[in-house]
Amino acid sequence: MTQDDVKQVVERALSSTSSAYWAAPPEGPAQGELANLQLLLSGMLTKLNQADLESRTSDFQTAAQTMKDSILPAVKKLDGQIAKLVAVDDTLKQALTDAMKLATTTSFFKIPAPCL
Amino acid sequence: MKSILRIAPLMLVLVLTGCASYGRWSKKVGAFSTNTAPALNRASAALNAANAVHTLQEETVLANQYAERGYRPGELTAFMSQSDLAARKQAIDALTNYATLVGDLALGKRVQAETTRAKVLSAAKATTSAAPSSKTKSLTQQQMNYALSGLDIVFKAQIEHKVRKKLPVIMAKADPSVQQICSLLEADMETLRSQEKADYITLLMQQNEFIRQDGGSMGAVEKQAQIMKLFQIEQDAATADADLMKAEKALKQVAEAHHALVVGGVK
Repeated sequence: MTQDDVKQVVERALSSTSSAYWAAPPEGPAQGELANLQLLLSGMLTKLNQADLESRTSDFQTAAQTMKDSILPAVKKLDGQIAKLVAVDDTLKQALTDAMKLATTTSFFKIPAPCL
Repeated sequence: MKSILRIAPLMLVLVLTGCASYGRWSKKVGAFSTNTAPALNRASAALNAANAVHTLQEETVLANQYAERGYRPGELTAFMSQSDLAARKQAIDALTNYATLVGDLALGKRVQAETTRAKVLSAAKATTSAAPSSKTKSLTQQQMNYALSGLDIVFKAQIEHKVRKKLPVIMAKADPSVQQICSLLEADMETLRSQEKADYITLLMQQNEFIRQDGGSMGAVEKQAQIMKLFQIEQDAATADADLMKAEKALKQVAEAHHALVVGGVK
């Protein structure tokens, strides 16, 4: 029997106890006893669920580490390359704008009409 | 020359088709990026909510046992340990970071931001042209804009080419980790559903036990308020379960969307 099977059995028992609790007469002692049984089963299920979560923790750590060590640096590197291209584009545009401004204000730089 | 002219339309069609397919692919990457953060936020919120409900359940049990056993706060235990939570937080943060960067690259967010900045710069630098003569001409603002746009087109094409070439390779490398994190979180959501169901059943029964045992000493209004809490607990349980199911579904969609992008690639 695997841990998953045990968990399913406890879950079913918990569900049956809950149904029995609400079906029992409220004035009798049965509800109190069933509430105690339910607490016991709930405690067992909590332990099983905690073990379930713990069993995945190392896999989470490995996956996060892989992302951090090899995937994110590759994406950031590409982003950096794009940033450089954008910066070059910006510098060229700036230079072009400055040159044109100079050309419109200085007669020496007037561009011959046929060139435009 | 004639042969070049003959194949030119075909080349144009190929280039345009390529641009269109890249556009579709990059939009899909953008959609993946946009949908990933909410899905991961849901998962993160679900982990915290499950811990909070479990603590409330334990407090309720201890409060009901107060008459027999007294105040025992030392018996309160967290459902998830700090190391379990930290490992999940790291994985969620790494995937969120990855999805944001990948989306920004595919949608050209950096280029868009720069283009907007450049337009502002260009408008600020706008100069009035001197009156043109017959032999020389000053460059008009419009002509300058053409030149700047030309530069933009060249650089945009180069950036797109780089992203198109490199991003799919990175995404293919990331896919196993993305699948792993999503499926681990999906499994967590299933565990949390089991746990929250049990915790809410306990809360409901403990509340009922409280009414049963101490209801006699309550006034009618107070007793009514305590009974109404039973309905509230049931509603909270249903909402929590629905939230967990939504989180699980959203994580599945994130994993599928990423895998489809990798398998489909840029045509």
